[in-house]
Amino acid sequence: MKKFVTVLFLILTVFTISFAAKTVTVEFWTLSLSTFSDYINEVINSFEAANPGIKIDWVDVPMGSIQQKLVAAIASGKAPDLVNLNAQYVLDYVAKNALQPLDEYVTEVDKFLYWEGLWNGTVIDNKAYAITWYVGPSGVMIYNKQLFEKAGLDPNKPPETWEEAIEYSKIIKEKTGAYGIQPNPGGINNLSDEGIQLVSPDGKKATFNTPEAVKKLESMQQAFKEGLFPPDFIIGDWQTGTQKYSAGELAMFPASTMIKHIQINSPSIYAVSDIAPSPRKKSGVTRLDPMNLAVPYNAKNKEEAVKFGLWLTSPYWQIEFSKLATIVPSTKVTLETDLWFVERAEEDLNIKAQMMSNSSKLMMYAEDSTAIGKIIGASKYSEFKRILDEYWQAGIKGEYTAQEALSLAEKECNKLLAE
Amino acid sequence: MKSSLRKKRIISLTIKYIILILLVFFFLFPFLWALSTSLKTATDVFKWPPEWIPKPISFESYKYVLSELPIFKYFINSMIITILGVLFNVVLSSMAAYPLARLEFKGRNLIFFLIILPMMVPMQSTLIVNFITILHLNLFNSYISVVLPTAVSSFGIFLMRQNYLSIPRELEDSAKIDGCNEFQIWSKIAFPLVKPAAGALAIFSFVAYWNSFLWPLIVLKDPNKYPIQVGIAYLNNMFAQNYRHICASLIIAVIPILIFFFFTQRYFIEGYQGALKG
Amino acid sequence: MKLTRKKQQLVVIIAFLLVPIILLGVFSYYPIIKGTILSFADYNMLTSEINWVGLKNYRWLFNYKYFYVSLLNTLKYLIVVPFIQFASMGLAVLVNQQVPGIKIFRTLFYVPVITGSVIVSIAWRWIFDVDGILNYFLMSLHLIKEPIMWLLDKNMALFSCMFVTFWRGLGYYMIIYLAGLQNIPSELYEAASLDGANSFKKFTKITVPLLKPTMLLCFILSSMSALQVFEEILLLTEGKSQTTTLMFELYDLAFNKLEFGKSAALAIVLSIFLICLTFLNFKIFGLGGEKEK
Repeated sequence: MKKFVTVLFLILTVFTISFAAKTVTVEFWTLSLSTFSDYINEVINSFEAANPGIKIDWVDVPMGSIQQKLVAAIASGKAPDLVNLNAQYVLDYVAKNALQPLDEYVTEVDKFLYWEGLWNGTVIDNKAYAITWYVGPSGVMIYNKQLFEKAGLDPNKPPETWEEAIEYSKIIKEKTGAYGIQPNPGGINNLSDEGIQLVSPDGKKATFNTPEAVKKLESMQQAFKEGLFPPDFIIGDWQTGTQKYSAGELAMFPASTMIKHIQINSPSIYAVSDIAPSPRKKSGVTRLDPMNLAVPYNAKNKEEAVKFGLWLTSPYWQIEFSKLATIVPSTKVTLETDLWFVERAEEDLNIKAQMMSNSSKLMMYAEDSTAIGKIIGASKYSEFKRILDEYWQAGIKGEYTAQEALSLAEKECNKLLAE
Repeated sequence: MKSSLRKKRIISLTIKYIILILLVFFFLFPFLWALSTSLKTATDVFKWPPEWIPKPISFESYKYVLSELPIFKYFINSMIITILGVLFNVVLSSMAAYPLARLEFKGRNLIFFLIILPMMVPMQSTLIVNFITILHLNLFNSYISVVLPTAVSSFGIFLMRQNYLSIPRELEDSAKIDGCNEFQIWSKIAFPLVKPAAGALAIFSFVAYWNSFLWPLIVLKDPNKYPIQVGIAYLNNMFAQNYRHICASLIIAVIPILIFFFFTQRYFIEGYQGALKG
Repeated sequence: MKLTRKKQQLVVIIAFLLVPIILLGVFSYYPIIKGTILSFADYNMLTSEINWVGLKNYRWLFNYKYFYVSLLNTLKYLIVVPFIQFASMGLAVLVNQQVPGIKIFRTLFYVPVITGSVIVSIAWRWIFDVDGILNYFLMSLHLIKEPIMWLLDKNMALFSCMFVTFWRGLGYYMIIYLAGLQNIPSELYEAASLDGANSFKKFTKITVPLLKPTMLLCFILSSMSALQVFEEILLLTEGKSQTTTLMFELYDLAFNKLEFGKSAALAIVLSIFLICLTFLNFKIFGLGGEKEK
């Protein structure tokens, strides 16, 4: 009897130990998503149910502090297993060899689910370093129908090209005193929109000082002088735009997730707004800046982390997420496939924007926003961006002529690229 | 004769009050904006001209913040961290500064200089290195880890030292004659005289620890231990940046400091005096 | 058995200084020394890879355009110090009045010091907006004809930031000076009144000289603070409009570019400035503690 009990005990112990040993905990960090805790927990619960032996430990980190917290974690060996990063951060960390290439954990079938343009955003030197997650709606703008009417413009015919947008802005400024449109303040974005190449293919020379570039800068200079843009957009970017639009002082605003802000903080303006595609770009390419999920090089549970990452970014779960947040999935299954969105597209501007920017055409030709970063390297990219932005913005403000600004920027960028 | 003097007094008093009130607006402008925003219902927050007094005044943002976030828990955490921090700062500074000011020994000024030197070297990697140290000490995710790296305050030692300097020698001499040992000289004579300065230091430490955000965020993992500034930071995110809620939470977070300050003003005004007699 | 007084003092010295010195050593000096050594390396904080490069980081720094831009801005920022100091002194005199309710006013004046960064950023950006309230007031009072681009104009932006620093710092130093004022015996003012001195004379001949010790403490704190300004730049302009400062670059190098070696090199250069400035202040105002023999 005693022998039997001992043997039974030993067998049970071995079972428990091996079972317990198999429970892996994946530490998972998100950026400022605590408002969606119900959703994230639902995803986690479903994953854990389907994968006994893997537990997810979720930590949400405020966006502004992710750098310090993540660097401390990776540097000290206490890195999370899966971390939510935007494309720029992924580039920066890859440049420091701090992220794990994921190719051995992700199959071709897995990859196929995502839009190539988005997936390739974090493929550096032919190695995939992140799984693409959600994107803010791009290529759409919110506009104030009331201001259009006041200016004598047809509120159902918003401008389709940048030139038209400027024309409309002039009329709006004259008739209502409000600002017309808010452009993107960045030099890189504005130049890429025109289809201008920023660097030579070998990344050694700056190639943006072209007559088209001068023309674009001059037109922005002129518009700035005439008061067609809210001046503080240079510093405040989307915050300025959101505030101005919310105060009824801006007629057209290429917003994305900000549409929700406008709804929450200015219901009366929201009530007279509508969504339209952003003025078309000459280059025809939409730039997208998706969120991603990456794995630090010294994470302890890489395989399980990737497994969860793929689960979280699956078409089903991303579509569910799109019902709660003004975002668009990175997977090829578009929102039109879910009636929920189709039903609501007319009344809810957020959903309208999501649907508009989730069309297959748009996503197929989407390009990641960090393309040039991969050519010249992450550290040079941030300097390059800084120099170009500085001169571009100084040019808009009228501190230099357009040609001067671009030439000076070109000179300094060439110096940088030659290092 | 008397009535015209009285009139002069009233006029000068009125002028003083006018200036004071104007200054209040100057200083409190942003705070008043936040207060007004926190009391608004779902109306336009950035209207121009701004609506200073919301019509109607609503506490719904406060109700939201208090019900959505575990504010009480955050308050308790902040209290624990702040009290620990203040105790460390005050006790360690009061003790360390004493020999630097009152006792003679070789290298005294050098040690003093070395103590305040870190205030002048803004090494960014300190954050990371200290995190690693905390991990090695097995103190990750503990209240004490929030407080330990700043337990010694160079500023605090500087302040206390200046205060100790102004104690008249005679008091110490008579204590010696009375037979006090060196420790008693400190505990019975010197320290009681600088208590006001200790109070002043307590207030500065209180504010610093109550408002701390980055270090607790890095060194604490359990959201149940988050202090208030970390807790309310989550309201300010990309997706649902509701300014009314954000303002309400910031007002809630600031009230304890103001209360503490108002009641303890007396101490640290006296406290700085001692430092200056040197 | 009783120790001699000398021995007792030794015990006190060691007992009182031991723990603070150890803690300071571990949490302040260790990171500083490590950082200083690593300023001579191409240091990858994330993977702990060290690549010794000697003075390369320093040479890079002295060739870096933004080092000079930020250095100039940082030195310019010292302008704010005398303004804050004298304004705080004036404010302290004002709130030193025994007027009923003065305690409330003092508390309210302290509010900017503890106003959170989020509010400072939103509110001041709104005030400084080209269509904002400041331009509105100045134009309706006919003081300016056209709106000023407070945060956009490269000649104005730094001063706009300085104004916010000024606004934020007043309450802090006011309290320190207030304490200093309590120290001055009122008999001195009474005697001066009898001699026929007006307020201005009283201020310059009595108040200012007797506040000198406070001024030492405050000028040092204020200048160290000015040379390390970071928050206001971040909150108002994010370094644009040519407002970048040394601390801003320091932070950017470390946490945006992940270049800790370069950041450390800059930290060393900045601390040399800070140490020199502190020595200067001590030379001018005196160290204290040497006399009374």
